[in-house]
Amino acid sequence: MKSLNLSPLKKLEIITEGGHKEFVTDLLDRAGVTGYTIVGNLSGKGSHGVYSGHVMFNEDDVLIMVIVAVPEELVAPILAGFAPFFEKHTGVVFVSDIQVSRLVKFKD
Amino acid sequence: MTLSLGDRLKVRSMVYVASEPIPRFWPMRTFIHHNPLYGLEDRPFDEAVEQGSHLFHARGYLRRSQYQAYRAMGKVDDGELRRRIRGFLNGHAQKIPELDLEAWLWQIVTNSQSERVVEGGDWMCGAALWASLHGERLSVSDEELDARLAPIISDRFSPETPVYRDVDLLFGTQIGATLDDLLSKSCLDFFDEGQSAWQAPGREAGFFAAWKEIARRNVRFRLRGLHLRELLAQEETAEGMVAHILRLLDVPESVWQGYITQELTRMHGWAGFIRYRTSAKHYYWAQRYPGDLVDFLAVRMVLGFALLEESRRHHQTPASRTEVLTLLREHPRAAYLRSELYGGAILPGWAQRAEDVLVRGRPKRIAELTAAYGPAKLQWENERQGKRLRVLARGMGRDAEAALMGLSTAELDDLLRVLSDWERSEGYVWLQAMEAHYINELVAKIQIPVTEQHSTKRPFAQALFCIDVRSEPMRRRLEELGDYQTYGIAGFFGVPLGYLEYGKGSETHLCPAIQTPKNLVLEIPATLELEEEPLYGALEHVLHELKGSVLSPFVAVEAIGLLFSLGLVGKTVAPLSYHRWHGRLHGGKGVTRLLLDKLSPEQADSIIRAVQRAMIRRALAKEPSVPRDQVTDDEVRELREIALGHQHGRSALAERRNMTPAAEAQFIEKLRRIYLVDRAQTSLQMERLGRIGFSVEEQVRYVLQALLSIGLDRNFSRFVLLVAHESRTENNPYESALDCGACGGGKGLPNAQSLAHMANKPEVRRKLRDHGIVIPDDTWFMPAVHNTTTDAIELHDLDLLPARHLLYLERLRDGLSAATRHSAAERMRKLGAGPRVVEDPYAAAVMARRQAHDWSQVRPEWGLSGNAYALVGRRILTEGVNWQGRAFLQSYDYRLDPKGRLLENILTGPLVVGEWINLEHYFSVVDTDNYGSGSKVYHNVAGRFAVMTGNQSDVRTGLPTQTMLKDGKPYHEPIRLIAMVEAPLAFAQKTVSRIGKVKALIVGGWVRLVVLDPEDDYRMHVFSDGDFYVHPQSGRAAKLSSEPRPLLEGSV
Amino acid sequence: MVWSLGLLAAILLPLFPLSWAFNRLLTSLPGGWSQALAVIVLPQAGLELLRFSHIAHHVPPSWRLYGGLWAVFSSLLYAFRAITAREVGIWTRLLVSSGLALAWLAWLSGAPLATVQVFALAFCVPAALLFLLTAALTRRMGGAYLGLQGGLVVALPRLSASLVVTALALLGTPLFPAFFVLWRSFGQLPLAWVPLLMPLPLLWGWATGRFFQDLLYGDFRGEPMTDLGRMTSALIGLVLFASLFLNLFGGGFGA
Repeated sequence: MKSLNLSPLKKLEIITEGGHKEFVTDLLDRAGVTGYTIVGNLSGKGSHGVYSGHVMFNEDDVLIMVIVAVPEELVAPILAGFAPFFEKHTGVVFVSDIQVSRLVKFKD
Repeated sequence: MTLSLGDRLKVRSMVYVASEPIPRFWPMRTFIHHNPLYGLEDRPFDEAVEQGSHLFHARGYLRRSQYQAYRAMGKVDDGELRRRIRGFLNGHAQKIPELDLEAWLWQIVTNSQSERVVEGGDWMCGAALWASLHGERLSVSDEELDARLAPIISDRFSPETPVYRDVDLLFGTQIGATLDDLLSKSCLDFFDEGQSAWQAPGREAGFFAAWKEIARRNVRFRLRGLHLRELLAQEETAEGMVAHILRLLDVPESVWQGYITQELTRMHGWAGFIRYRTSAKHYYWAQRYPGDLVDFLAVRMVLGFALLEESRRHHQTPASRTEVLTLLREHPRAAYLRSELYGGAILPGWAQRAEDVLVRGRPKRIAELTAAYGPAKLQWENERQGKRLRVLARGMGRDAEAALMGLSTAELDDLLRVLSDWERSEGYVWLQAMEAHYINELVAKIQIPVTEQHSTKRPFAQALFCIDVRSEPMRRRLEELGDYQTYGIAGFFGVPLGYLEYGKGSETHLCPAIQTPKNLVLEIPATLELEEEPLYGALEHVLHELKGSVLSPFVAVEAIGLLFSLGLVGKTVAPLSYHRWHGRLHGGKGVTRLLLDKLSPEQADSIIRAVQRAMIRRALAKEPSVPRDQVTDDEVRELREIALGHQHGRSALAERRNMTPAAEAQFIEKLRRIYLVDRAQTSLQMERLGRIGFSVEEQVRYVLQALLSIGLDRNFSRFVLLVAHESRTENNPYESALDCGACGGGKGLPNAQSLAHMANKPEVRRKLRDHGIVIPDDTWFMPAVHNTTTDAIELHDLDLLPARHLLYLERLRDGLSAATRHSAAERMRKLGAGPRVVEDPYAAAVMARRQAHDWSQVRPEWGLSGNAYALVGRRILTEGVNWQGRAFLQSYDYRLDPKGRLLENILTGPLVVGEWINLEHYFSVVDTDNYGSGSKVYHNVAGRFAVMTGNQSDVRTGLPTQTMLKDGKPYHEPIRLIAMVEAPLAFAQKTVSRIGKVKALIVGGWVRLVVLDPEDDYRMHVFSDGDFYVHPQSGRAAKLSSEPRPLLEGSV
Repeated sequence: MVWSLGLLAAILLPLFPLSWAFNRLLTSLPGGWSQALAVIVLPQAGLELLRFSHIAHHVPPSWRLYGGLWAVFSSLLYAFRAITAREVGIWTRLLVSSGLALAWLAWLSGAPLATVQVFALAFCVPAALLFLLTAALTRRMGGAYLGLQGGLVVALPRLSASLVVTALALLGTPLFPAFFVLWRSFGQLPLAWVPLLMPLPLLWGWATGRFFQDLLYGDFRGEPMTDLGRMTSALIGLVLFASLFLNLFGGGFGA
């Protein structure tokens, strides 16, 4: 079996209210990421209260998570970019180390 | 030097956060009433109002004198006022034993003539106040003066204020006003939607990019002294430019967020419109010419910086934050004096002296003058305060005045603090007291049903009106006249649809703004004519085109100018006759039908085929110039197959006409590209056609929901009218605001027609029987339109009426026109008609029609002004009571709604729309200049989507003063919507809790909720201060008892 | 002797640079009635001096041309300075100096002295009224500086109206005497003078526009104040109307 060619990347998981989906994806696009995944209808608890995760009136009242894999040099700018947003809004960003096999999909 | 990615993203993020409180501004072609503080709705009402006042420099409550006037008219509940005063004092830390603070506050609230008793001021303090009360002079030494100046200056020049505003305050330059002007002009140029004959070039590149190109070459800027070329060359992107200029101005990064917020909220009209544009995915103009808030901010900052530089060159004013700070630090006295003079706070007697000294600019003289002025201002402020307090005390009697004079300096400080804290929250207290009065009125007016028996008599006609407040007088009159039953339902009749009118290119969404319709309904003319425009229409078109050209006015005025004068004179002198004549010349639209039923795939395919064939024929007529009658159907079919790629090779037509293969290939290519006869387009069109119409299941669902939600499931009469509403006004940019809000600012007739068609379908009726609703065979659903300006009700689709119903049509028509006339008489009184008109319904109806056609009329109808209540429940509760056109009436029967789903729909739909309408009116009336849009007289249409005041200004949001004020006094009484729901309390609470958004609105105090519990003896449960309390005058028992029970203070 | 009397006249009937003295004199007076009287009496005194000294015979014709140009220059200078004046008293003073300088032009171009006297009165009477109104405003607000507080018309409707109408009279708006005297006197002048005189109404109008802006527009946010009495404002209206009437029917002051 040929050994896998894995390359290290960083994974960002951005959890925030559903109403800000456009903003988050727009900012990531401008940062130059090649793609992202959005997970919806999440529930959870934070400093602002409990989210029930049940789509009510529209999507604004639920939590979403945007998962994106980026090369290391993009992590600092993206975190800097989101800093003003998270000062005023509920949500978090998790950064973790991952490895991917098809690096070409994640880098230009 | 380009900016790092991180910084650019940061700027974008900051702009997003700063823009959230700014309300979106919908284009006025479909005016949406919305809450101006929508971005702040996550906070409680009073907090949000305070924050909004701060952000938008607007007042959130009426002036005290206006509330006192309301109190004199009996519209304020004194008991509630006292309760709130006591509550405030109990919660306040400061206590002054010698004074009866409650009496003081009462005196302020009810008798004070001035707008604020404690004005505040830089030099106010207890010691000085004591000295002024006792007639002593207070001297201020130089060190004291400088010590006092420091906090004053740091207050006036906060780090987040834009630099140019500080410069304006210090030097009296007009940079801010000029900047607003230039920015308005730039925005008007870019965002124009077809109003100007010459459009700005290069707009596809985006707002900032296009503006840059023009600004580099703008001669007017250069004449002003703005040198933008080098500045613009330094950064490419908009966010880069923003960050670059912030750095040039030496603004520290920690205050960037606040700085950006202040810049954006300065012109919240334009910012709101741009915000709407970026979020509206299907907005045509936004797709073609994109522009977002970062671009807007960048343009503003570039212009601001250039103006600062220009001012520095000509007047040696500071042009960066460090320079301003240096000036403040080194010349604090001069800074104080300057800000007093140019900020307008200076004592008038000193103004000329200050101006002379400042213009000469000698530091010593300035310092001397300030040293003399400071104590004068101190004395003046404290004297003013002392006088006000004494006047107040005198109004309460000798003891109070003596008590005041006996206070020590510390106690005076405390007194000032208590009073100023009170005055800050006084507006909210007045609001609550007015609402308490209206809730009392509601309790008194509600009719508690004596018996729960249903009447089994079949009414002559039933009518479903929109919940709009203007339906209320009409419903009342109709019920008075005869055996009519009326119901209230949201204006779109629960059927959200996209409507494609015959002759229009795009679809209109006829549903509340918060929803997106999934179904499309087409209007198809019954008689198809070939393209032929009536002569008059073509002539008119030509004349109006002439107006848009540059040279033609010079030539055409003498020749055809007189033609325009006919219109001018006619519309002014005799509007009704002119419009009648004009209408006759134009001809009508012809008979049309709505395509409501879903198409089967075969039908869709056949339609596409037909359209493509017609396209091919047209293409042939244009290019190879083959007239229609020289092409056979087979040849067309062959061409179609080739274009779609199903067939290859030469076509028979090409053979016959000897076209070269190249020419033929070119023709096929044109068919594909321009006439859209290709495979991808075909599948797209099939998809779109699939959206047309409603399936039978959907139809049954909509009819069922509509009938159940209003509680009409039995005892159907012969006629069931579905009355949509619209308005008709001339020369009114706000005409869409008078249309149906539930239909997203459009006219609700297509919805009424759709529901009527669905409900009349035998198949649908059969399926409804399975759900337990039996509609008799002779019941006919008929769409109608209520014109709220003239109060006329017009019946539609009469040619579909079954023959036997025609017998009763006359009686129906008579009833409707009588109701029209009486309703018009009632309304014309409010619009200032004389007693003769009011007493004669026929004259009133004529006056109403004239209002609708008069182009000089700034107030054709009051619209939704005066709205106060939203009553959700059975009609029997509100029947026969004169609500003066101030109540949204939604029919609802809780007994038919065991799971609460219908109530959920009502709460998330009509109630939220009602809240938006109510708050739009509230804020437009409390501050007509900042939240409202000022007088209509000065309005000019901007870019075809908004109005502005004068020839250039910020886009005006909100409603105009003519809709809000009458003779300078508020006509709409600003209170929050009082929503009454007829349902058991626990049921209502459970339903509300299920809907997060509505619960937040109620708990936050954006809507006042009142629950009328039919199972608790019809007692009224009022939600206030976080909990429900039972209104003492409510309930069957209270109503039946003969002696009126007073509303005890403290009984709640 | 003649010339010294002439110089004195140039002080009293202000001509730059001696108009400086006239202006200083006016500012040093305690305001109100004294200023009003001074502004009416002094120019008339100056004109009497001119008549008494028979200086008209001594002035060579070339001096008439230069003198006229100098008068126009003086007038333009004061009009220009009036644009930035915010205080009502100062504004009045500058505008009346501007108008009175034109009296020299009228006299030098040969108008009879009686005409020039009416000319001076046409400007001085509104100016006097304005000084009185300034005093009224100062009594109420502490100073007559406009622009600090917008929308004075809301708080003091009669006072604002009087200010506006009197300012229009001073400005030479048609119907008021100043317009007709200008018309009559300069109707005789050769056409070449017109471009020199045209900037004057422009500058006067500009100064007045700024003046009105602060009076009439904006939100009023100050203390409520007592307005001008009904009798007083009626009297002011009467005076202006009388001057108008006299002007239209008195007619025969000119040749």
